[in-house]
Amino acid sequence: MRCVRVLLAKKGRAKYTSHLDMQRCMMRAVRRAGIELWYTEGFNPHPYVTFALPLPLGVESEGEPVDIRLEGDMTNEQVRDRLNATMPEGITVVSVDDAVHKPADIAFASYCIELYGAPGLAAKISDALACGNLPAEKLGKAGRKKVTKQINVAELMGEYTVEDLGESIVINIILAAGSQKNASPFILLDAISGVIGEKPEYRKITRKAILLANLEKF
Amino acid sequence: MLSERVERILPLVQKPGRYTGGELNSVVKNASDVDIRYAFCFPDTYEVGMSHLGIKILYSLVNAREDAWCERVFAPWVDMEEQMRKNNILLYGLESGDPIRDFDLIGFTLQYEMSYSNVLNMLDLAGLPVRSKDRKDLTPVVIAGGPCVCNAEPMADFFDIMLPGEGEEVTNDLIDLLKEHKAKGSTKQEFLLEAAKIKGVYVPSLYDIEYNEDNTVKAIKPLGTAPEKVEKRIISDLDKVYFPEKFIVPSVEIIHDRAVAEIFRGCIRGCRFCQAGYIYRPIREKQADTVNRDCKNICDSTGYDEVSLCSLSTSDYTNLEELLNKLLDWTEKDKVNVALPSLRADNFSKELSQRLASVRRSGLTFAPEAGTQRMRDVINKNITEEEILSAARKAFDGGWTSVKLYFMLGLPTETDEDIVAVAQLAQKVVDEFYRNPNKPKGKSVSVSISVAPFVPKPFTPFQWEAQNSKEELLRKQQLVISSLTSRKISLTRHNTDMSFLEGVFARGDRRLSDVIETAWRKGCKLDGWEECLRLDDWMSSFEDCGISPEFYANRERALDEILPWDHLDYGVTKSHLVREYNKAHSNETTPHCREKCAGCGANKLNGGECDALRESAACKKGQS
Repeated sequence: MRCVRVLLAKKGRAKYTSHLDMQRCMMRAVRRAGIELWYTEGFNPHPYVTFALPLPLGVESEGEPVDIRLEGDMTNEQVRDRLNATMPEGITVVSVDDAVHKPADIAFASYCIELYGAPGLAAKISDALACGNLPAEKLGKAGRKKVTKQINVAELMGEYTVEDLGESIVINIILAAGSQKNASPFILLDAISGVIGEKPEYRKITRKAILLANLEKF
Repeated sequence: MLSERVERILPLVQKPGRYTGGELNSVVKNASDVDIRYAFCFPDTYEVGMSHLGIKILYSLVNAREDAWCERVFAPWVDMEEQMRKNNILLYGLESGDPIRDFDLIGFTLQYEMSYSNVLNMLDLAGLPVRSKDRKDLTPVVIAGGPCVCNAEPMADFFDIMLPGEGEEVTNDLIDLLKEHKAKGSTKQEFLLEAAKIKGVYVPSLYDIEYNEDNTVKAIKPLGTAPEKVEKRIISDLDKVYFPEKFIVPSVEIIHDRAVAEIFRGCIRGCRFCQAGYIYRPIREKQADTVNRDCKNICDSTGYDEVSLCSLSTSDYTNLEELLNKLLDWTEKDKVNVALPSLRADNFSKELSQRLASVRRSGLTFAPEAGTQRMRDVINKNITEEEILSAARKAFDGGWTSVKLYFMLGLPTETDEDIVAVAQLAQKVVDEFYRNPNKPKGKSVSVSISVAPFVPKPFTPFQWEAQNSKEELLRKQQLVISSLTSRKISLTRHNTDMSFLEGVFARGDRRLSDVIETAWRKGCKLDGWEECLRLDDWMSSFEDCGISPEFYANRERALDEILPWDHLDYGVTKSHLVREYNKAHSNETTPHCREKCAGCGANKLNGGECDALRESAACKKGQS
């Protein structure tokens, strides 16, 4: 048995496939590709196919890591090519490598956010991002109870740029990600809208990369 | 392809993956390369419609033609419909994103009566008039198929054509004809008159219905080229019929998310309440090799890890052992689970249960349908209490701990004693578990019983019966609840409002078209979803149209009354149904078709051939 890390790009219509559906999609793709999976040896054998970090519904991605445990002696290149031959529209395998870092080492993710129908809001957005206080509500848990928590998204942000392209405003930003601290781009946008009191008509979000604490690629 | 306008509303709706298309194995063609564009519509949500085997077969069959392109269309959920209407987005085919208004054929499959209002809603969302007479152009031709077409008279005013029977051949015939008439520039009427000449094509507008003063049907008169009786189409040789090598793999989880292969059509049992058991006759089987090939193809092309065999009463398949041996040869290796729905309690063997359990274990479901032997004899569910209990024993022996039991309430001649016996039978199954020395250690048993109101259906021996009133059914449900004696038994009840409407439409006539349109205009849709069903609006619509729904649901018909579906011929003769009706009322059973042919008449559809006849002859020869 060996573990490989598959990096998936998810573009176009495929972005409407949810996290759970992606897991099913990946399982089926592996089966179609004729890649021999390793199964757990318990009473109810099941394969090991795990996405490192869930991607919110409606967000595109340039590289979602999926760890798969394999049997047999297929090379990483063979795995990549066989999967690519059978992937649904919009999902492609960027690379297949041996897994180096642990999913727990994930600390950040970088996003590209395009806002449409928000003319003249670029300056306001820059100000909001710079002000250091971006309150937002987040569903969380207190023990076993579900509660709404007040958070400050500004504390979960890294470097960013805001560009006004006329037709759209483009925000490139690094947000906390992983099991410890996590901020989704949607929470950030809600928080910005809360501060500036205006909402763009339409937005397109792409996760560019998943990063370690030292900002190196996961 | 998704239009920019659709893209913009998708973030606003639940499960947007239902509206995007682009799934693996979906077929995209160049619109200018084809002569006929076909929108196959399932009048319910994506998750329900994508689970249906018929759509998968006909989709692939049409797309196998170079001159036609078939796309899928489902009913949008309430939130999506709201956004579509707000943004003037017309109902579109999932493959191209083009409005289906511009297609040549729009086909609906009518699987259950509660989907009727969705058909109107979908036509309206497509930007088309709902009534056939208001759609003046040749195209789109709006057609219907599926089991409800055996009496879709309440929908007669909305469809141009209905297709009773099996669709594989007649779909191609119809596409050929439409292609010819489109090229000729025919009018809609010219086309319909020609279509009516094809066997298995029913053009509702070519029949004139007269009514008696008591509201019963007086006469059904064919007009123009329409035949006196429309005979349903069947496929003679199931080993040669088209079956897809690929299924679309949905990107959103659907209800039956697995590979499916059909093993036979028809049923030998003759349960008197069961419409499917009568309208799909005569029985025709596929050979084990054909089914095995179908299963393997679908699993390979989809990557599904479960395959299910589809038919009525799976364990009546004569090649089941042979098929399972062939299947398990590769499914065990490929870690594919084999699911057998629709097993009968009487011939469910221990070996079978063990072989299936060797892959994965799920719950077991049996359908005794009624609590007492007398009641089961009336409905001709030829199964004894001992058989049910012994099947449960075998299941518990094999390690199962949960059993589902299906029952009906409101059957003809039913007494309170029959109803109390439902709870008693469930208790006996619980007792059987505790009596079993091999029961799984440390586990408790759970018996779930489901009681569904009986709805009399056309082309069954009970087509003349009165359906129980809502009040009576609610009383009977309460009686079952108060008779339950164990916490190991859980009960699921079916919505009685829904059963009432289902009963009205199942045996309704064309005058109900007005009611359906009225109710839909009041906002009725997705009636099969309990959270969407609005009975008050339906009841006021009946009143607005001056029509009594009880006349259709709760009235007992005379055996010589002209029924609204008498001009359709599903093979089984009326005299056979009368015979079975009389036997039911004297608690007499009829043996299944392989034991003794009951002379239902359906074999005439297949040139006198019937697999059950052949097998019973072979069986007798073997014995002598």
